[in-house]
Amino acid sequence: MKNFDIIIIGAGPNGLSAASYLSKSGKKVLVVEKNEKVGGLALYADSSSSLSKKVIDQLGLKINARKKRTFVTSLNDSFNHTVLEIDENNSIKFNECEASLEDQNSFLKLVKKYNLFAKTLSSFMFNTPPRVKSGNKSDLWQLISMGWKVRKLGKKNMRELLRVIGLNIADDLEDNLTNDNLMGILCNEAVLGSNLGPRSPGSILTLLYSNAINGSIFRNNNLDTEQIISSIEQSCHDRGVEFLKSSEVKKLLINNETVTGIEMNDQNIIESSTIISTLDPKTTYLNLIGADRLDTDLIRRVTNFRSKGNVAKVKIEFKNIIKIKNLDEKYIGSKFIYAPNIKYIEHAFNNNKYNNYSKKPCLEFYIDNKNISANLYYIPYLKNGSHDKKEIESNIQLILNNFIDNNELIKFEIDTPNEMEKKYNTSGGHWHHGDMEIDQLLMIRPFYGSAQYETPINGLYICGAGTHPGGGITGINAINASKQLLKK
Amino acid sequence: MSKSIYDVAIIGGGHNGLTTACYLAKAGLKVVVIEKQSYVGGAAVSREIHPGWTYSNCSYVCSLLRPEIFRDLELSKYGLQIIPYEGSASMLDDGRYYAHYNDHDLTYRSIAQFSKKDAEAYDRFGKDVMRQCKIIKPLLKMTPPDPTSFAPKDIMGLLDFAKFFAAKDELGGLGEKEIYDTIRFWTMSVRDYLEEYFESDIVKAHLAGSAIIGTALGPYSPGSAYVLLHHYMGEVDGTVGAWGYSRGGMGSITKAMAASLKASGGEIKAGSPVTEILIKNNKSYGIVLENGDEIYANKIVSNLDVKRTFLKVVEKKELPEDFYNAVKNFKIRGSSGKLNIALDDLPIWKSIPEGDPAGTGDLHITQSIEEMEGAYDDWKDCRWSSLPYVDMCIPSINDPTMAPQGKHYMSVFVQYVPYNLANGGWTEDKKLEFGEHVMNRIGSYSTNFNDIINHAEIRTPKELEQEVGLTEGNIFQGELTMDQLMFNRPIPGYAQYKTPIKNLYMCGSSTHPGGGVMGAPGANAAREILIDLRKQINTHYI
Repeated sequence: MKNFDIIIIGAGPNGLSAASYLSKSGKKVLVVEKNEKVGGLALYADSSSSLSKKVIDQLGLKINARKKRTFVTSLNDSFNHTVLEIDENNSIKFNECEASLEDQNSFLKLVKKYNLFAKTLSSFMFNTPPRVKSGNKSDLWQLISMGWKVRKLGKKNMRELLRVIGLNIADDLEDNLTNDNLMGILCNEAVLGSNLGPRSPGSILTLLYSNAINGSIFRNNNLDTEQIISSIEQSCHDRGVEFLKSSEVKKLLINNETVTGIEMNDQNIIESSTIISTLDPKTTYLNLIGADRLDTDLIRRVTNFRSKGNVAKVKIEFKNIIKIKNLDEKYIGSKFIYAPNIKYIEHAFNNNKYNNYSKKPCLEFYIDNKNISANLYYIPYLKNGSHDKKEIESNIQLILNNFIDNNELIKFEIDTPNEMEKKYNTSGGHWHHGDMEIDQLLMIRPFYGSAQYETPINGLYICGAGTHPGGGITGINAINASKQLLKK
Repeated sequence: MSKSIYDVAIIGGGHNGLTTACYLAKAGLKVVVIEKQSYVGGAAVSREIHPGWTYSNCSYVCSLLRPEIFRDLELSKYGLQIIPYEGSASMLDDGRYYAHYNDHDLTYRSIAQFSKKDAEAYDRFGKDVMRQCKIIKPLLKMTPPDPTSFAPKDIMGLLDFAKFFAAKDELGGLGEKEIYDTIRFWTMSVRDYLEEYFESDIVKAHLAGSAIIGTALGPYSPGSAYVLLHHYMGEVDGTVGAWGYSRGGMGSITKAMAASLKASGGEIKAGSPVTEILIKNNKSYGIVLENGDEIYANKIVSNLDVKRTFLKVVEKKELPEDFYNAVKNFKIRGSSGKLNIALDDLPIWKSIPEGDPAGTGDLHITQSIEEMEGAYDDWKDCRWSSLPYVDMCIPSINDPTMAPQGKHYMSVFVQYVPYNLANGGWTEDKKLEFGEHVMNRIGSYSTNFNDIINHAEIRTPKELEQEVGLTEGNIFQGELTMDQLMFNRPIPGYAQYKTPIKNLYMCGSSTHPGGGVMGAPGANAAREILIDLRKQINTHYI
């Protein structure tokens, strides 16, 4: 078998980005992927707005101009839908909205505030998180500069940031708005993909974080995901990265706390002294490395990393072209949201807490002709038992039938977090490999001892969504990890 | 109209107001405490509402009262005696009970009944929590530094705060791992935190109770682990985390404070509700009483919660708009209910054998954290919990002054009870229905409870608000969540006991470090006032 400088496990966006970056630096890279297709969990997103410009530049990707989703439509049970129009500068217009002018202005003020704070946060994204007490001057310097960026907001804004960082989104919304639909729109951005409800402390931080990663509060600077993936894959091919697809890694070969290679499911062994795992932390540590090689404390930290998936991907096909009742046809390309008010979302969340799914879930979806592609939440990962897909289907039908005229559902496909776990080897089927809450972010992501892309095993790195800056299809995790690796 | 000038007038004779008053009086200042009721104490009171019995009708157990304050105010000299209690227990549906005792081995055996693994983990848990207590304790005494300020006082404060993190491990500082653990503890849910140690539902439920007391959070809510810590950091007789009964009820604490105040030359004016704080040129100079009298003082200190202070007794036009709006948005949602019950006999519990010391302490009714979270879900929908968390105790077992011979007083604390009740709000009937709901729940765990009830006083957040003046019945004068703690409490930029009005201060639990019968807010406020007056005293606390 050929000799490789680096083996990368997993050809999701982070695996591909790392491969491209490292081979650009002259390394001989092999990417091993369990599935036939590359892309990993990113394949669940039809489009994404989080690919970092810096990553595009650093990898030299050829990507077409972004296709903005101009409209956000929040469906209202009384058919007074809210339609927001968002332009190239992220300015918001209320094309259809029953909220008062005062409410609309308060909404804009809130969004402005969140954008400001997201901008500050985004400046933390690009670096490897500093360690809090490493004794290292560069870490201390980084911490000071992070503090300084916050201080530059000015007294008033800094105070407000420090106040809202632990606050729940429902409180901030209720303090400033009265219109349910407007509140629902922002709640959707805050809690989609998380195990938080609108009243959970920390749900503003998730909103800010998502805003920072996506460059917009509505995540609407979209690129076609297939284009992203194939573009990164192409850059890998251009640089001579080798791929081994349809091949699953059984475990890592480790000798004296140092990695020496991988063993495949088909018994094949490939050697290398540098390996990057883009799998989630639990799978990396407990399956690839194996619990017998880890000390109790570390096993505890791995097990305590919260990674319960909570979103299902739904694809629906209708008989006729889809029209939405009481909505102008020009808005059919909207991002649609069904999260009518805080109470509704909170009730859906209540079920998730107990590992149930509500009969009245929330939806975020896109319409394409006769098809709907939807994110459905909250649908929890089930450790025991399985989801009643028929029941979920009829629950969704009830919701959609309310809004869709003269049509018939003819096909319904759903991947719950359980399917996601199986298909992409992601423990818990969590989109972001693990909750993105304040105690699992930055220098504590995934946990102490593994937050700077290194692991206790020499030569083994980790850089999937379970590392800083978390989920979303940014590629930043991979670039940070690669830089870290090249330093050594 | 009477006209006298004091150095300091304190609005509200709760335990914090009394504490502030005592320290200032000790410094030789002419101090008066103005209290609306005919008795002082606020929510730390003992009252004979039913002839023959004494109820601690709001707060009921003591632990958090700062030992330095206890000593400085010589409270034991004025009759205060805290009796530590022996243990705590949770009663289960299936007839079993789960208990903690002061004796370590007994506790181990009790836990091991449910899970040996958990019995082993309990030591580790205790050590970790105690370590967090050690970190937090010095922070209680601090005036929160303003992180946005470059003033030397604030920079020094921030450095003080940072030194725990920056100090070398050998000097008692935290190692890197401990720093992350601390950050996690302060931001996690108590459920996630307990899951990291224990496997048994009941072990977790028993410990999680103190994380939900008085909060608008559930045990699954991020930030609830901090509330657990808040309740653990007290001490009785030097035992960190211990709780005890104040002999004669919680009123003995404030009565002792009042006596100490009088002995230092301070005055108390009871039966005098305040209607307005007098302000001129952005400076406070006195207060107006309900009867029209005016009292003048160089400094005014409000022991009322921040909403009551700035929305009720200060005119809106005196306040900056931002500040006013921030006060309006201050979160102070009440979630607790209380029953004070006079019993003709000792209750016989189905699960706890007679004579077991666990029966003399804290008794809980809870099956699992999931049930507690369900109780919280009910509250979010403005209903009282159908399966409420109940925290009961019978102080008269160890304190004969609370009830006639052979009879008993039982304090029942309930989570969750909404301030605004759905479907029409609170009425006398609804209140009785709620009370019966709780008493039935208790009765189902006892063979004689329903037969021995002599009298029951039922309190919802509405009663707490009306009688004690706690806005929305929140027992902490403000929720204990990150957005309202430390330099955010009560309002960012106004977390140092001062207000936008010159000479007007705050000293209640709306300020750092928050609620519980601690006295720390009151003492910290006194310290700030003394600094402003350039006066010095030499006590354990200040």
